[in-house]
Amino acid sequence: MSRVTVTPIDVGDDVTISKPNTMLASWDVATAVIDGENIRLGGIHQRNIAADTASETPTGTDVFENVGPTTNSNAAWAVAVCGANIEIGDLTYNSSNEEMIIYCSFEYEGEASDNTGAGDPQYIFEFRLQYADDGVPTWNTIARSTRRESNGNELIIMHGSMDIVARVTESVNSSNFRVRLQQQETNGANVILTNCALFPRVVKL
Amino acid sequence: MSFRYKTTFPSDDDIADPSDWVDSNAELAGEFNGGMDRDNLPESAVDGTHISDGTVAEVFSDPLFTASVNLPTKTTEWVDGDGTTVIGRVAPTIDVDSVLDIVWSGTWNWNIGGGYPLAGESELLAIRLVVDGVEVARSPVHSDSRDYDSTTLYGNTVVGPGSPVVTVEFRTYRASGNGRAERTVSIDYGELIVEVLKR
Repeated sequence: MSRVTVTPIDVGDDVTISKPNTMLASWDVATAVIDGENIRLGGIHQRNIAADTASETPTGTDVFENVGPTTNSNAAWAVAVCGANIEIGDLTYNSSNEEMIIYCSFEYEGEASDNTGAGDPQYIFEFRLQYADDGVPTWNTIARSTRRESNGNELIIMHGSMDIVARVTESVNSSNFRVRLQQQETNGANVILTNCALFPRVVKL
Repeated sequence: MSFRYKTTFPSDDDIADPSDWVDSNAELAGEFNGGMDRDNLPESAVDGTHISDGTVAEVFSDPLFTASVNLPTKTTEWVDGDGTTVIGRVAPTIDVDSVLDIVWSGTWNWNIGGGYPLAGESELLAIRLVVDGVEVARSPVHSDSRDYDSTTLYGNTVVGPGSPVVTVEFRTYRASGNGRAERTVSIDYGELIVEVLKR
């Protein structure tokens, strides 16, 4: 803590400069180490705090928004497309003093590969998030927990919306942080993606 | 409050009194030693580097990482897992009044296999977010007309200092069974995220 000690000078003391100098030295030391203890509790006002101190507003390539619609047909995991690849970045992110929560939402319509009737296999539509932080980019799956599924078949009109909300728990310090949505379908089905959004919420710790 | 220096100006021919010097310094030191505030700081003077971690917000989460969790069948009560594994639970330690922003998103599977239920049977799943036993969000009931399905719940509440327990809970309903045994629904993927926004 930065504290100043006042050196008392009383009437009748010898007239020397030593006591004023002692006090000035105390000021000199204290002003170099000002910290939170010097501020009274609750003393900081919103106007004292710079913009984007508590959280960051994503802009530009940090936000993906596209109406689409785009038909996706992938038997194996591939980047989801909704007018363009559903991907954001490059973001600057340091997990040591920031938290990032990814929000991804989209509307989907599943199409069966044929209409031969009941008894055909079900169609599972799967989505998950990936990240990259090396600038290449080399993609890594954020976590198993980000995977979402829905399904249908000829007897069910597959139409709905989906949100994926995921906390980035990986240790990252990069100015090339990217996130994208992947998807795949079973049994040759298609999925049409519409009104897609992907953006981060960055909370400063 | 903002410090104003005690302006005592000795005049020529005054008797030298050290209190003119000491008192003003003592008052200044009193402000400096813990009394500085908003009036001493210019606009936008404080940025993230000046604020200790966890002062403004903290984020906690409980992802369902490794394996599916089968919910018990014939449930009449809300459950938070299979009796062994809790699907989503966060208990942050909070030191000031705060707002909890809570979200859970996840996927479940009725294990039907064919992709749709048989005629005359219908089972339902409801999901809710609970803080210290108080429900803060509930989903509509989701039917087994989709073998696999997903949803997202958002909730928030105000809490005081302490360790509130945030859980995601599930309840299954059988609308009609058509003589068939009750299905087991498994929660396959999901994550409970709690953002603590401090006062």
